[in-house]
Amino acid sequence: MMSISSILLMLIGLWGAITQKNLIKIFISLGIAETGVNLLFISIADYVGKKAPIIADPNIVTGYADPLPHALILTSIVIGTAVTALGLTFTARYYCQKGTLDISRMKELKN
Amino acid sequence: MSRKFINPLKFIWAIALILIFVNLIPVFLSTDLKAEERVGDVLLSMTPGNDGGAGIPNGVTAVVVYYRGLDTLGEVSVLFLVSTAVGLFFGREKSETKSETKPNEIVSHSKTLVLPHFMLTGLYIIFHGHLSPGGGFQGGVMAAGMVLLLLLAGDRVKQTKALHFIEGFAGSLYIIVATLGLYFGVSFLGQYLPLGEFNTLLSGGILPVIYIFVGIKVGTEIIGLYQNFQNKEAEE
Repeated sequence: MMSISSILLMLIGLWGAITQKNLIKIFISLGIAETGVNLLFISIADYVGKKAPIIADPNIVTGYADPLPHALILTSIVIGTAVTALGLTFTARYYCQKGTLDISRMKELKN
Repeated sequence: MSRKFINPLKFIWAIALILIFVNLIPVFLSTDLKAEERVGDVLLSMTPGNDGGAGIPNGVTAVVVYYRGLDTLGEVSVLFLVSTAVGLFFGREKSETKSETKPNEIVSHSKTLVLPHFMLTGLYIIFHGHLSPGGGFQGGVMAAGMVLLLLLAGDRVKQTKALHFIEGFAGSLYIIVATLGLYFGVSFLGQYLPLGEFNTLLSGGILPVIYIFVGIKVGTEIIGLYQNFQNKEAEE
């Protein structure tokens, strides 16, 4: 159930990234889609009745959740932060130059 | 009245993709794989220090810093690249727009009360990254939230050169500590310090050392990002 809802969240984010005209809203939509992907991975890792992967007794290593998706998502969150920061930087620069955030008015590369 | 032609193939593709996706969902949810076939369980069994494992309780930290340490180095490089790029795009020219609102009264008065707790929590999470949930990335961002509060209160970080020096120094120390593994240990990012007693603060060999450097680097980079955005907004 959690994986299905996370896929829905990802699709909502992608829909927003396709349909929105405002650049900042596009980056927020990308952030929502990324959150959906992260939740999908966490839902793969986490089963009912399993504990967080912090081993109290070195002899007992079963009954813990899978640590690999958590580590992957740690990477993914950091990269998402980097992408959002760089995108907002370009957005701010573009707004300073042209005074608009509407992507339908961006005609610089059209001939 | 002319209607726009909608390609019917689009709907067929959409339905086909949704059907393929729905069929794939049980693969994500299947739990009946054997323990030997799941890489996570193998990693968990190696994490406490058996068969050349990491020797720390936290499985996620073991994966991030030990088994995939090279990946974390790449990740930190990506963050460094983005921090540099943001500084490059924001640092040059000054904006004409001035900030119209004064900093919030509550924020500017309560900052001295809140700041030590931010710093202490961030440092605790960095230093206990191999024992409890958390680590360099999370604690670094928390400690950098302290500086975000300062910036919201109208202050500035004046020593930007010192900030960049600390950032580069922590990154260099990460690589130096990792490279020393070639001389004292078996490989790049290999373990060469004594493991110590399991589940204590001074244990895990190079893993907490590396995570502390990652925490310092991530914290200073996030501070630089905040500062550059603020710079653009409220430069006089």
